[in-house]
Amino acid sequence: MSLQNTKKLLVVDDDELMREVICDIFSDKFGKIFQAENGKIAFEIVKKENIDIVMSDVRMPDGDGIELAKNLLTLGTTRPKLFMCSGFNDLNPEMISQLKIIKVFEKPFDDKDMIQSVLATL
Amino acid sequence: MKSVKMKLRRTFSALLLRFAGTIFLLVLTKIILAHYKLKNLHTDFFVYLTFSFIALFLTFRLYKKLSNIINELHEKSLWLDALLDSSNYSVISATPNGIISTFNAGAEKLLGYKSSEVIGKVTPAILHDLNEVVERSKVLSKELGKNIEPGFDVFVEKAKSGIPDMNEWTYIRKNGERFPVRLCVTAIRDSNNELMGFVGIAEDLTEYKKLSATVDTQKANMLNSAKFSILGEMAGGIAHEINTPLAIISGKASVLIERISSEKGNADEYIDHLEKIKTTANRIAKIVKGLRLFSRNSEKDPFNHTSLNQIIESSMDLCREKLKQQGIKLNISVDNSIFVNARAVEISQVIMNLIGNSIDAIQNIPEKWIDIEVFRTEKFARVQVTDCGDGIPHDVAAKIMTPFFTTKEIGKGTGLGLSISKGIIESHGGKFNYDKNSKHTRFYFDLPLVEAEKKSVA
Repeated sequence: MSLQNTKKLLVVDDDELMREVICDIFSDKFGKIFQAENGKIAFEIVKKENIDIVMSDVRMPDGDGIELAKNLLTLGTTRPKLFMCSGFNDLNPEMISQLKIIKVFEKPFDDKDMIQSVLATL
Repeated sequence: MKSVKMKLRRTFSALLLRFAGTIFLLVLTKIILAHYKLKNLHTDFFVYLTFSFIALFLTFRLYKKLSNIINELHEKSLWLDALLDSSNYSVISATPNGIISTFNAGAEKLLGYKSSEVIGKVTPAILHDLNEVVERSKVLSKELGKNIEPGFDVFVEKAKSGIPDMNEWTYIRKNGERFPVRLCVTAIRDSNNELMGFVGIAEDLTEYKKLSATVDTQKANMLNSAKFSILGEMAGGIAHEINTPLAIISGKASVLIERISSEKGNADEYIDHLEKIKTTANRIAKIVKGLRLFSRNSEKDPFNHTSLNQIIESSMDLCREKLKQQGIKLNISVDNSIFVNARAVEISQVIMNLIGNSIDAIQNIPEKWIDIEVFRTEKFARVQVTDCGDGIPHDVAAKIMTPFFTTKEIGKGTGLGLSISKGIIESHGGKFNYDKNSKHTRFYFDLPLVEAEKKSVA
């Protein structure tokens, strides 16, 4: 666990409770968890912090998940790895691979599946 | 008819006058001849002959005139008969005491009686439903403030006093079949204003009733499909709106299971999680309730005393997510004290339709926003929906309220949204308008204000 405790997760969702749930799920899996309510704020955090994993909602006002994914691509780095969590899937497989999204979780998601998939990329 | 009668009268008096004139001249000649004792047979005979010729000539001319008038009258009556019989209306006249005196071909065709069976024999009341006659007699008695017996008087009482009487009735055919008619009864009076009888002209309403029933169903269907088309547009958002709280509930449950089974945490923490699960479940319930309300057939809903604020809130529950995913900023400014008498679902439909139109129209504008404002005008509650678009071109604006007019691509718009919205607002006694003076695209509607204290009827 000590290795993982240095890892940083960024949870992006406009729904406060949703962020809380994802934070709860990963609370003992990451050293530090950041939260952002939209893609714009999230990108600012990514630029400042050395984030390993981004778990982002797709649809959000003021900077959605797709915009965030595009911004992350401009960094040209292998980290953070991007996961998405969507209430209504409007991402086609082509977009998912283009935007280098590791996996899209459909809400309501299976938390074990989510933990497993995320930890596998660390 | 009147002119023919006048002509006849004039001709007759002329004839009389000339005849009297001739006699007078003859007598005068006789007197003069007697006076001067000119008993010349020759002169006498000559004078007689001359006057007789004149009289004959004048009489002949008058006879020709008279026969022309009679011909003209005859022709006119033929025309009238043909007209009466070729009409699809049932035309039945009756004497002042209620015995049928004319029964045209239309009446024969509609009612199945031969005119010979009814003329001079029966009262038009036999064509009617007794219950309707009794009902009408009650209504009439009340309206006219005197007792009207259920009988022939029911049909003619109003016509008698010169009031036009047009009503829907059920006619009964000879074979007992019933059909709806619109009957107009008029009193006929002679030149001395003496009552000669009544004429009842009836139109068969069977087809009309069928047609209007079809139109009503189609209208209701149209209203419904327009409603579901709005709902369809919001569907993606609604799914998201439900799936997010579901994810929260299932996530919270997993966390709880994990915490409890690993004996971490305490009761306070568990309760906090559980409370949040409960609140979140309510979030879903609210949306489902909104959906259920909205998709219900609201056509026969009563008009209820409702807060306009509440209608807007529940409408927004259904489109908030759609707005969010489109990156549209929604600003709502409401006045909690504004109440209207309305079918909430229909008003909600109007609002959602306006929002749906705005969403489609402002898609390509970078800074997207929609404002909803509710405020009082002098007598009305106004709801105003403005978006960041810069208005509708004049030529398009002129047509937007027309049914089936749409600028949206095929399959996207029904072209019914605005015309239906207008219909809904007008059925609430309000007005629905596009504001052409606004800098940004703005629609507004006014609903009659009601007092806040009044409690809901239903």
